[in-house]
Amino acid sequence: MNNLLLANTNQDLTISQFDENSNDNHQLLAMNFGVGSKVRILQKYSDAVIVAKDNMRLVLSSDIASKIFCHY
Amino acid sequence: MADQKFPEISLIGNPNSGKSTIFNLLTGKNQKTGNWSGVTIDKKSGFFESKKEKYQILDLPGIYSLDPSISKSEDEKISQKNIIENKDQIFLNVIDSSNLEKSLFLTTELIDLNKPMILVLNMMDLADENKIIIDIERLSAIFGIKIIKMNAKNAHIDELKNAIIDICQNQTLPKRGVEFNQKITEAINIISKKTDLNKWQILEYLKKLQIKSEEIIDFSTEEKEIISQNSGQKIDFNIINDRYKFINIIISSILRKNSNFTRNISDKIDQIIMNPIAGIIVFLATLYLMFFFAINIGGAFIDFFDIIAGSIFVDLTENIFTFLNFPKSLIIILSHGIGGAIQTLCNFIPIIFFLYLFLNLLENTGYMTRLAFISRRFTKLAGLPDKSFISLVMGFGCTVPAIMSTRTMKNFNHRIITIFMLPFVSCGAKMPIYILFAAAFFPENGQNIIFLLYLTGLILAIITGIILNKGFVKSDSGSMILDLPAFSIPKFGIIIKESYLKVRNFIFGTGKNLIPIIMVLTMLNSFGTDFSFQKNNENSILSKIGKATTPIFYPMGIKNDNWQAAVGIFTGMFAKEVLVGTLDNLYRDQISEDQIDDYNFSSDIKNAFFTLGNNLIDLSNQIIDPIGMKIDKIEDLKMESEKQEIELSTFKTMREKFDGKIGAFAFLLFILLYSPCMTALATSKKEVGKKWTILSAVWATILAYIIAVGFYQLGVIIS
Repeated sequence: MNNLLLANTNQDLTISQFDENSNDNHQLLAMNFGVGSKVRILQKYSDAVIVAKDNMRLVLSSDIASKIFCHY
Repeated sequence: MADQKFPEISLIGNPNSGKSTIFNLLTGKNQKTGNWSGVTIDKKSGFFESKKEKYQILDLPGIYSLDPSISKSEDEKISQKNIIENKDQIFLNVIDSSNLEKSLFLTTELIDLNKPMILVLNMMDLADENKIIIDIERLSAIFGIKIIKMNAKNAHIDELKNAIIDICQNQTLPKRGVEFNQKITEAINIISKKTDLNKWQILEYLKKLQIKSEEIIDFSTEEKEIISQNSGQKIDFNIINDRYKFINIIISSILRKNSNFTRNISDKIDQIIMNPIAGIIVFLATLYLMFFFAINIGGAFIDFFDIIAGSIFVDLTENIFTFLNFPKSLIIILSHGIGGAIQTLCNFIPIIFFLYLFLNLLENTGYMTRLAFISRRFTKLAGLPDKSFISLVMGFGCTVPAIMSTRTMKNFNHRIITIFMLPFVSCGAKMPIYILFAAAFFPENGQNIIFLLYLTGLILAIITGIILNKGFVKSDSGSMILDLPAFSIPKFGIIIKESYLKVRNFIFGTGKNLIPIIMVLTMLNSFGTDFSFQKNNENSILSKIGKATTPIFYPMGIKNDNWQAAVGIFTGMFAKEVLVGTLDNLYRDQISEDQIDDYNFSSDIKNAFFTLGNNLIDLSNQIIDPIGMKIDKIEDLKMESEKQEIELSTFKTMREKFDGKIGAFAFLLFILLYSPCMTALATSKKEVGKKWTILSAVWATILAYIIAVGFYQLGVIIS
């Protein structure tokens, strides 16, 4: 299990866990970005990632992405 | 009246769900923008009429949830507060059909509030494009809510208006909301039997376990046990999970979609414009276009507005009241005071209109969110607020639209920091001052001096931003969740209308602050200490103040016999370029008496169109040098004086009065850095309030004084 930041571009992933200490879990959940969500990494930057889920495209800063765990 | 009979209809939805388009379609021309009470966040309201009845529509800022712990920005908090606290309202919940699961989360929360509600399935064309098929009738039957489908091509606006009229009359409530797990449901049932709280309020009560004194009721021990077992922070995630379980059950019965991931057109565009390298090129090109569009193209219309407004509000007013034999002092207050302030305000109309035209275009295409992300990558390097880069670039043109562009920042502290930074960015109005001094003191290397001034200002702006961002004004941690909207082709009519509303808001909002200030300054500049009208500025109260305060500027090289420079600092507060006129007027050998030319409106109109034509033709010369920094080496002072319309003797007197190049540059440093003009201050007051405006002006002026004095004293010691 890796965090989102370590995944490769164009890789399909399933969200498996959130860091409980993150303050942003509520917002991500409200945006339908919860455990079990199937996502794809579209672009990676040194400080952020762009993630696709269905028709939603989210930019997550690296501190948030590093607290979202996933499996391939 | 209809306003009392019918409740307010609130447009609610996720950001980028297309609420504003629906708002525009519903209200047409009948809309206005203002601020929400106590904050500078746009409040858009309007109405439509049917059978002589008015239906009030309120466009609320986009939110994902009603949960206050989720909202980070002021506009989301405003939206939540309005939805929760405003009792007499009807919800018009706008949903992005291509993202139904995400959008329905908010819908289920709204249903829990138990208010009359209509669902608008927007962006149906996007859903079709993505091969998403929604059983609308079934969805409507499940919730017991009327559903209207909308898309960009076929708006169904009449159907929506009829649904609004119908629900206002029948007050139909939703029939079914989320079915939470058994334990939570049991707790909800116990509380709902003994209170008037709706389901959403009960859930909030359970989460916080707090209740207002008037709502305290007796529960049995057993009931208290059930409530306490299903309360507190721990049920937060259970509630969210139950909502999504419920949504997923609905989705499985009403929606069919292609589950394979495909890159859509927006993804393909994003591959280029969000690319780490190409994205920065597109970003810089966009900023250049924004600057050129607002400052150069918009600026080409300034003379036109200036001449027309001056002709009507100043000259015509002066002529009418002179003809009516009004006292001279009253004529000056009415024409040059109130009329002059309106003229000043009118000068900003074209650049603000063109700025908002461009910003609205970016917003409506979906690029603005991307711009915020890429801008952040620049500003983060220097530890500055997101989007401040955009305002700083605008600041090189004019501080007023630059201050107004801070409204695109959701974080209020970011706005404050940027407004503190902006006075140091050299605006276009300071250029005539630089050129005047370059011609008088630095004819060989004027361009380098001007570049040095621009650079000094930028460095001080960045230092100010870093100091405030790190310590004084608390900013956010830098965490970011950005929802990128799909790209769309904007509706030009809507962009024009939104830009017009922004200009109208500027005229009435800023005008309210500006007119009294300009009036007072005009009176101080036109009357002597005995309140008699002064034909030349030398004997005015403002000049007397300038003369009295000259010793303050002595440490930066302004000697007592150079009181004209001190007066110029004060008149520069009208508008920076006014300082050139003041110095020319006070330094020249003979003060020519102002002659009132015969008023000729048709000649003014001709002149206005003539300057407009010339300015538009001149635009091609500004493509490479939009700021106008390139000035030629000044070899013939006489020619330069004719070019700048400055008396030749002015240059001679300036050389005598200032303490050489060091004194002149110290003065330029002060002019570069001190408080922005009155229009900028009035705009700032409207955006961040009186306290921060005064503080930013004081900070800029103190820093200007310290740097000018420091430079002069050091220069004198070294030389």
